[in-house]
Amino acid sequence: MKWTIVLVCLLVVSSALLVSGCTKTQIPSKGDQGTQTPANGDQVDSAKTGNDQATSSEIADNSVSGWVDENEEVEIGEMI
Amino acid sequence: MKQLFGAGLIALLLISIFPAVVAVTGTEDSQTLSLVSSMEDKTGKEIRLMQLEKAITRNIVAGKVAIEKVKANDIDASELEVILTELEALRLEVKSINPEEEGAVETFVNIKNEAMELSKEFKEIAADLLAQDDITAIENEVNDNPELQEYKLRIKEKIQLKNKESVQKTFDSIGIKNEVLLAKIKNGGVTLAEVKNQIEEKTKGMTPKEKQAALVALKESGVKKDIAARAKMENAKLKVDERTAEKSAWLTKAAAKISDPSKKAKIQNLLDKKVKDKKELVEKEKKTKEKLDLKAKPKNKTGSTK
Repeated sequence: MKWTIVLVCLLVVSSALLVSGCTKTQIPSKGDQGTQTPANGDQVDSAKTGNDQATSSEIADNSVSGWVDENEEVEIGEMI
Repeated sequence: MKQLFGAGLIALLLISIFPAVVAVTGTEDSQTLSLVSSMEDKTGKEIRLMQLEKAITRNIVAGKVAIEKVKANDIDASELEVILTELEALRLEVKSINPEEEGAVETFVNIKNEAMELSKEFKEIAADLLAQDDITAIENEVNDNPELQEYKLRIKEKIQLKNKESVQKTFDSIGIKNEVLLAKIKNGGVTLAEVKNQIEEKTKGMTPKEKQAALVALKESGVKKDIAARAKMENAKLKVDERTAEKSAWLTKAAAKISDPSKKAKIQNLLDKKVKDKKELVEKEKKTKEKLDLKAKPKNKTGSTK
């Protein structure tokens, strides 16, 4: 009986770990929707029309989504 | 009861390992997805293919020096030479890819994965055979290699061209004109932050309605790009088995580059054996999967009739 209780407790803990391990908690980075800081010139527009309104900063972020970083490499791992 | 407890512990261990495996695979996939996302046009494909060619070349350069060091210690390096020949075959194949050909991206994904596996295999074998001095000598050889430096310059130029094309496409879609900025991007004389600032300045004159329309258009294009990249990754997985014949042809070409006839014959034999062993393993896995599927089928039928 004692062993069964221990086992059940361990299973509950590991299930909780499994769920937390498989769930991605994404921290919004700069450029993600919802984290935009409107540029000075945009503040009037946003205030007038509510949060749904697009800002120049959002447009700029989305405009450069195809930008390739010069330092980015194709990684295949080292040989040594 | 102790047996039950033991079984429970094993189950717990497996459950704990699962998220870690998922996390590692997920990271590798997301790296490749990011690379594939930029392969939307000819220049993007050229960049990634050239970068893959450079990465394989770097490992071949390192591998050659490592083999010399191993041989200098009177140790048989045949196993390492076989892996190096396989990498050479992948390099020949990457070089032959026409970026505009259908399936170029899928081939890129599969070659990248195969090159990763081979590099890992080489590293595992070489780790026990090389001293710290050898490793330093190999790193120096890689850093000073003129071929790799040349790749770096060619890739840099292509990236600048790609960034110019990409920003130009965006400008066209949202109605901005700025030839000076585009020229600067092509010459590498501007940073990403500066480009964003310029776009911000240009869009400030837009009405809220125009801004909204521009943002929707950009986001739509981003989503389409992401979906296309994911589809290519899935297609690549389906094409893994189809590559056997192609790979064999490239291996023969790579082995043909070995000048010493006795070494060539030895490597070719070892390669044939490795290919045969792999084929047998795949067949075995396939049969096991089929058996498992057959066992699962009656259950499905019962489930569907309910």
